[in-house]
Amino acid sequence: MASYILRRLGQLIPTLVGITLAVFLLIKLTPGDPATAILGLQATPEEVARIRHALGLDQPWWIQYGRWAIGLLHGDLGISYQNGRPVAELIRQRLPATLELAVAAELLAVVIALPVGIYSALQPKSLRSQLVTTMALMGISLPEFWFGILLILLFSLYLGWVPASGYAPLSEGLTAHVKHLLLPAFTLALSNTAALVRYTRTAVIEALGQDYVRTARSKGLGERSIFWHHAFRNALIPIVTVIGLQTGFLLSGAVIVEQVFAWPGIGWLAVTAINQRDYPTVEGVVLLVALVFVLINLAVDILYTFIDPRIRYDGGEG
Amino acid sequence: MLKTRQKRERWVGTALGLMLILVLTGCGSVQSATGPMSEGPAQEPTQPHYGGTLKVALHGEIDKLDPHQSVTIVAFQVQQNVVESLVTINDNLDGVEPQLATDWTVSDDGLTYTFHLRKGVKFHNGKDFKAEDVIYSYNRIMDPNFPSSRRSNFTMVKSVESPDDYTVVFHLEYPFAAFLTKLESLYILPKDAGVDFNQQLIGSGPFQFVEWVSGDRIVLKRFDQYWEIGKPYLDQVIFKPIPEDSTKLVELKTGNIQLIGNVPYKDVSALEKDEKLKVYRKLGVVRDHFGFNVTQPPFDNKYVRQAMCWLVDREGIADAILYGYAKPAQVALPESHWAFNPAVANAYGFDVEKARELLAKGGYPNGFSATIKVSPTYPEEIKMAELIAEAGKKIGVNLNIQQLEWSTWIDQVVSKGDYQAEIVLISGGVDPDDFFYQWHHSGEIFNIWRFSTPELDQLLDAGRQTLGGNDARKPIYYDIQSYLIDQAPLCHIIYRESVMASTANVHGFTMTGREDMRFKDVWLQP
Repeated sequence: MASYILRRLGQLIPTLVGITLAVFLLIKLTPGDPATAILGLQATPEEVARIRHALGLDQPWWIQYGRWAIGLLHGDLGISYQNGRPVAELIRQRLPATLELAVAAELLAVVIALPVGIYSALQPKSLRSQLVTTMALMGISLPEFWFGILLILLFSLYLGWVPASGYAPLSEGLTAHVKHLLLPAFTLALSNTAALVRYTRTAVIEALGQDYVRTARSKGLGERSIFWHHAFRNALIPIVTVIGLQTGFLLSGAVIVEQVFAWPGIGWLAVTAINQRDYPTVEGVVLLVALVFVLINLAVDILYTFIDPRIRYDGGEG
Repeated sequence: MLKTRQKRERWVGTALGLMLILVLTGCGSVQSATGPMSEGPAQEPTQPHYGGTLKVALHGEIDKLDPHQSVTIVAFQVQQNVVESLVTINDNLDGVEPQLATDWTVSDDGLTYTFHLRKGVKFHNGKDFKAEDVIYSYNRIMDPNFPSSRRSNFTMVKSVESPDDYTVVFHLEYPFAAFLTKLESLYILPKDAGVDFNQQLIGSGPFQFVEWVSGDRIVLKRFDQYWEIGKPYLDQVIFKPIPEDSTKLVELKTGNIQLIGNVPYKDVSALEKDEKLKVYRKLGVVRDHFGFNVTQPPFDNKYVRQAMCWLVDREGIADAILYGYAKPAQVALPESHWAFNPAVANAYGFDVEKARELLAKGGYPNGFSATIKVSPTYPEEIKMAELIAEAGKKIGVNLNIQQLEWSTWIDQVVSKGDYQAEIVLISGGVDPDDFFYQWHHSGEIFNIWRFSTPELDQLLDAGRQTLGGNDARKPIYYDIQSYLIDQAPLCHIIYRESVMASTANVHGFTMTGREDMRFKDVWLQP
């Protein structure tokens, strides 16, 4: 297992190099100049040239990328063009909010989707089950932007239960903290919940149709035991995979939700940075999201071994 | 300054959109306002109350704290409560008033400005304000190795000296009538503070900087040793960036935020009916225009450009797109400005037949095809383009509309001149020089239409350098406006109102029309 984890972590390096390089090239290809964003449009060509030189923007792209990568090896993510602060500090300030939002949203999705999906799978033909499937389809289709604003209008404006935007640090008390978290978390959870209901339903129905379930039934095992010991456990593998992927996507998917709720996370930071051609900040955020994404996938793979003892990584699978 | 007014997709371009804002004015050159349209309710309690925290929504994250470096309007809104200048633009935006200078004299040749400084002023770090701080701040902005966004405001300055601790003398290279208004952007920072002003802003203003939590809040607290005795009233001001309009409005209605700017026009009338709120409206100097790249056909032809100006239904646009919170515009200057030329007040109307005649005169009797570049950062601009394109169809003019992300728009239209026609909004200006010189003089970056003639340059130079006050300069600016109306490198469409709103318990707030957020006189009714 340990050597497997090490091998996977080793694979991280080319992945991250590839992703950051791709983003670096993409942002270079888009029109717009960070020097203009820094100095304002009124800057003279000499001033622009001076700042481009100071930032190394007059160098070939591979040298610019190389410098950034070497800085990274020394733990230096660079200075934001946008506000002159260290990128590492910006990310340190804003990452916790995004992580918390993503985890809360995925927890909500799991807590809601698993029971609903299972119920729907156990009685696939019932009216309720059909209703659940339809609602799940709607949940996937609703734009987050619109759903978020609806929630704000209902729960903040008309009912006045929770604030419409912002973030309350824990120092302001747990209640305030959770109140601020609820709406963005629900909004972000919506499409994942809906998708997870459908995955769970399909996975459970499929597992219930397997030969080993028929065998268990013929042995006279009770339905409850069949479900929990045979069907559900096997259905869990695809479900856990989806949950892992979803959590990773939430980090990037939080961009719109963070804007709607003025949630001080890295998604919003990234959008602002892209608009201002703030290369160091964009690279920093992308690197981080990629890293977290890969780590989550690794964690999911490790989880498999607990769910299904047949999966082992030290001597291969089976 | 190109100025922001975004709606649903605001987040897409907020930050950069905002950037442009102070850009032009970068500086101080803010706007001259036209008359106020309405202020808060009439019955204002007169006895100010001390204490309390005012929470304010900013429509985006600020770029930099350092006022010598920032370029966004949101940063300006925060900084103007923390730092001060020798003079500041007055609330009517038609001149300057003393701030850290108590008074000044100007030599007869207009080349020497002598300022007498206010005594007993302290910076937030305890240092006494003296002439050395003015010189330090000026040198900091002009230092070629320091990336300052303000340098272009002071290119006319030859030297600065301080005969004593409380006198500063500016020597100019040439007479510059708008010099005083430019001085607002010479924000005075303390010499030898030993801090990075982007992390810890220190000024002499009514509030002192406490913290900036990226994406979440900027906190200011009352400066107890502020030079204006008894001010400010508030204990604390918290700025919260909220990019989404709907969210911002709910926060205002629920009282979590007490003041917002950039109220969406579609919501203004509903807010005005809400007794728990106050709405501040002012027809400022935010103006939309339809402009042309005059270096390329068909817009290298004056008659074609004039024809386009007759295709713009200004009244219709003001009513249908701006919900009536706008007025038709002919030139950059608002009608209430002292330099506005009344002869151009009705220069262009909406007349398709006239447009047809002018097209024929210009050699395009059957019309032509062209592309208008707009950015969704300004969604109203897209609708204006659609209305104009619709009118164009009637005379064979096929106007395609191309939407570009804001930075790309800037790159193509402003930097490269890679366009045929554009629609965008511009804001800013106190002195008439602010409204014309940087937009129309040859070689200026913001001459985005690439229209320049020796005749116009001469007029612009004369307007800038003529001594003798407004009366002496007025005829020059009259000529400039008539000339631009005739040549039509751009057609103005409308002036927009600036709209802000607060909860009813906010008192003492004055709307300026350039989105100032000055809180020195603001207090909260408990």
